Amino acid sequence: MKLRDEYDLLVVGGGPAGATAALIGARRGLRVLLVEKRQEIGAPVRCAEAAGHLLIEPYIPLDSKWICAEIDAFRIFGPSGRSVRVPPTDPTVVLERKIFDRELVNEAVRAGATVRAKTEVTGLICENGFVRGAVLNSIGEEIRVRAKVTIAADGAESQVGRWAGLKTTPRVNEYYSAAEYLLAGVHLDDPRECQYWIGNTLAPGGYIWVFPKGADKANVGIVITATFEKQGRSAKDYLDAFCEKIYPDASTLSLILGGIPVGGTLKDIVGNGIMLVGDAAHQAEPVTGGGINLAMFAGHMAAEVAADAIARGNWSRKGLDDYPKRWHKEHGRALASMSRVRHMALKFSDQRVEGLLDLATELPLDQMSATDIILHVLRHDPALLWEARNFLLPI
Amino acid sequence: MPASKPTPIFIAVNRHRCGICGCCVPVCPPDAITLHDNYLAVNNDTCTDCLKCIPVCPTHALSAIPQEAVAARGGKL
Repeated sequence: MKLRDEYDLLVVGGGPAGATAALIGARRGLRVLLVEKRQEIGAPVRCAEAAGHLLIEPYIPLDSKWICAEIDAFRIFGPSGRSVRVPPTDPTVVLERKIFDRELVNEAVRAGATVRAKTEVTGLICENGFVRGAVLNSIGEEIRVRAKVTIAADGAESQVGRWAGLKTTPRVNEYYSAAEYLLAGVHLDDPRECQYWIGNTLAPGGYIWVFPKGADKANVGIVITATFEKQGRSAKDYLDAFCEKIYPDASTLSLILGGIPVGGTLKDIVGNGIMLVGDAAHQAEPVTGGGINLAMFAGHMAAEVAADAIARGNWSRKGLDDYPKRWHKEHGRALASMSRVRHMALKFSDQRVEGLLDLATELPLDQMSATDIILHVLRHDPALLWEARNFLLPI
Repeated sequence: MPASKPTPIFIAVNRHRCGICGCCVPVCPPDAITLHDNYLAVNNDTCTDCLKCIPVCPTHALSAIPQEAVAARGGKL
């Protein structure tokens, strides 16, 4: 049970990003320590729990213990209740994150990683401009652990990145404030369908989701952008108003809260001996705020680059540079475009949302190419072309 | 409780409302808020009164209290 004085890889945070980093690092033969500040891996959950399971499978065998619902389609609702059904682009499931996170961390343990819960990083060991490990508080005991590379997977509230001198503060207009109930005693017309409700009166600068977790339970949550909220109401206030209207008789089994940086990936996600992954690196998808799959990609990529850098004996910022390069190429550019889409869509009036939904209900979406859909939408709402110029032109 | 502060505002946390989620932590420019395992700590000595933390909190658990009001209550928030 005693920790070593030194590891190859120190991973801070036991969510999907950190667990995947620890798993891949251990599989590559590194000595890995993962620390989780919370008392329990997987709790408290801060997530709507929908993810593409085909993207999870390479890391952990699928298990019905942590899959609550399989999803066939998404349904997008306007403020009036009018809706349009859209098939999912990737096969999607709703997870039981509490169990999933724990099993994923366990997978890392099986691969050889060491894990400590209720162990908080209180400071970094910095020498000659390098992060050389961290000072931990493990259930009241102070421990210094040295590491060649530290991966900060400490979530939206990441302080490790800040302490390492990286700029991690999100802009308030690129930050979702989130609240979610696990509701029981709800009737779902289709328990294989995820619902999204949009419109600035429902959720200013954000949206509401209803993700089924079985026949009579659902994650019902909201994200809002605080700068779009002009009435002094909180995310929870808007969520309560929605639930009162749609599910007046439901019971709440849990309340989940949190924040999601949605400005697209941070400019600097590596430094000397330090890498940021997941929400700590602002790697969630900017429109939906979804980040489980992306966090796992990032954890995987970072651990591989760290293992290569350690093998080469150079884990300076330059030695770790492959991670931001590969990230930018494979995901970062797409996230940057989605961030621009988000800024544009945030300004849509409820009336405009309804107009676009009206149009979508008349179209056979599953038989149309993306180009066909875009052309139809532009014919209906030509002003969109002008508004979209900022993200269409650079491509 | 601190008896004085370099700036005019105290940030107080309503512990009943706070979900200990850390949503307020990253938006704080001077890094004055820390999320521990089971509580949220605001360092009013380094807080610069920017008030960015207040609207982003999903339950509005944080509030700004003028220093005089705190002094009038004997230094209690």
